[in-house]
Amino acid sequence: MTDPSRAAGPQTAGHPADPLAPSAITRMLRHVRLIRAGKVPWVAGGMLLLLVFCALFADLIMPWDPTALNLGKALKPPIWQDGSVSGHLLGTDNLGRDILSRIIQGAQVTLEVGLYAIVLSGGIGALMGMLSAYFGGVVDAVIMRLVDIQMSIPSIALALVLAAALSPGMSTVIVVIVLSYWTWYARIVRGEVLSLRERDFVKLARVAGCSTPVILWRHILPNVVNTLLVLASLQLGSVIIFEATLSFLGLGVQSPQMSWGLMLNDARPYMTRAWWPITLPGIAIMIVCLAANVFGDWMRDTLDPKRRQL
Amino acid sequence: MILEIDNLVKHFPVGGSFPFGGSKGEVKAVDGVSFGIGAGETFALVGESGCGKTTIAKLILLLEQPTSGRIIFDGTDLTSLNRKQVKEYRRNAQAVFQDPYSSLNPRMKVRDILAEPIRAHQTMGRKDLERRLDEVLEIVGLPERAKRNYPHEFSGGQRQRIAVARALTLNPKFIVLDEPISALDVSIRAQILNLLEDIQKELGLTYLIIAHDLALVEHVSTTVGVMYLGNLVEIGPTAQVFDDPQHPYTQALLAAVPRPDPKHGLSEQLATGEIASALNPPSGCKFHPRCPHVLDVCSQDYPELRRIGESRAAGCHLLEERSA
Repeated sequence: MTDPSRAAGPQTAGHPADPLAPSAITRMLRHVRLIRAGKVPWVAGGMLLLLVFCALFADLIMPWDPTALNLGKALKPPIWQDGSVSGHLLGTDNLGRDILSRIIQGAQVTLEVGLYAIVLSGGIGALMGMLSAYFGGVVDAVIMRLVDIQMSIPSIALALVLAAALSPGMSTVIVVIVLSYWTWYARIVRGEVLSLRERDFVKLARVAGCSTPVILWRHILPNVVNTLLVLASLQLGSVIIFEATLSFLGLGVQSPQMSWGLMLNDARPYMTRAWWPITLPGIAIMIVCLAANVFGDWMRDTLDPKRRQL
Repeated sequence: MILEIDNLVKHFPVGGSFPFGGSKGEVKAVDGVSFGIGAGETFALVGESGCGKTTIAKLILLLEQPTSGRIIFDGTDLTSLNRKQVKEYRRNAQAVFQDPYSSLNPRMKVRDILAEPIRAHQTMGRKDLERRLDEVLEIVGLPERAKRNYPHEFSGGQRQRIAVARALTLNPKFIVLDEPISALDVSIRAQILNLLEDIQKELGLTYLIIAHDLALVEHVSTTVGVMYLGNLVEIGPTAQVFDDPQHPYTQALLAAVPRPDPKHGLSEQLATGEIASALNPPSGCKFHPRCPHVLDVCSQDYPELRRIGESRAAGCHLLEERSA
């Protein structure tokens, strides 16, 4: 036995399930199959793209100035209903402002709050969870007790206090969301890392001579990315709702800045007389939440190299 | 001696995490073990699960800090190294673990898995790196194109080859093999074993094999150490220990190995009962509750290892009786 490759013969050559030689064509086919796997994720992705588009180019595509008052045209219904006025596709609110324009503008706030909140809470939470699990001991105990304390504080109460202490507005909303959500990431990431840390490839990385930051970055983080993406997509949905809730309660975004939650609040007194000023922003919230969840699920499936083959 | 272990102790505290109360005792996973491995040797550590053999592997690989004792590799004491020296040591001591499904990062391509030890130690030009990777892949009998794939695209045996290739990239002197074949299909165990033997001969490596499979140990090792509950109970050249075991525990282990011989019945040497808890080990000789030849002294005094002949030793009061 001086030629080790001889021993490998039956395994590596000509085996029907030889994994070593996927041709360029099968690689391409894999991607085609992915696309055909379902259209729902693409609809969801399209919705999210539309949201981004609206947020980026709001000033160009809004048919009206979203803050322009016109009391003569107050509470006009959408164009498919009797009594509508031309030019206002989705009708007007109690001050005669164009609802479509306001929804488009609201997308900006929604996206801004959502992105900041997710990146910050995900980043802080993932880092804390990783450190907690990887180092264990006192580090773990301190971080996890912080998480316990944070989780025992109701987020609406926290929002009230912060709105009083700072001032209500978008940055306060972001701070509240980050404070309430990082614990989520920290706990779940900690659980994942606890099991990852015991995997042999992490120990072998240490044996190979990798430093702790390298191990965390190359071995731990890539293996929790899936979890982070799923959490982020789920969180995008709940962040949008949370922002809407805070704005609806008057603790969040303040007029004349625009947000979908604020629109709900503005429209509430006229709810019985006009359905559209409260329903249409509500539908916008719903669609974006749903799209975020579906898209997140799809991303999780696609980014896992094991599932990609199936 | 390339590696010498001197009175190595590792106790793990049990229960109680900060700030909720203190420790509730300790598991004496390794309780004063000494042995040495000569260059080019294959030293096997055997014993039931829970006897501390894997803990010794972790201590040698500096994955755990010993409670006390010394590990001397090539003349330097590993327990007092600074970070730079640890790194230098890791160049020379690598490992292959039991489960090839857990020892390769599923998110890295084989190229990056193999290159990782090199990248951790030196900067190497792309061409040199690729050449080195091709070399180690050839040694383990995998084609060069394997570099482009992810671990999940390989079978268990192929994965273990990748794990071996990775251990070789830095050209180490010493490799710890922790149950290197026990997770593999029976049909490919021999292949991997032969591969490991060939590599050892070709590159002049020293192996420490952790195993519970006695047939494997008899086949590959030159020296064997038998562990029971954190202690070495017998040590010596493999052929001699297997031919004529001195410690009742070794005798029991060997008696439990099925032999392809119909006349060879079950001997009365079999140990009875379960391995005791390392949290609260028996007094005296830790094996005495299960020993078929137990004496009065066994429950009181711990039997130190006694030399037998030139290169063997065993820790048992029976041997003292016999020589007295």
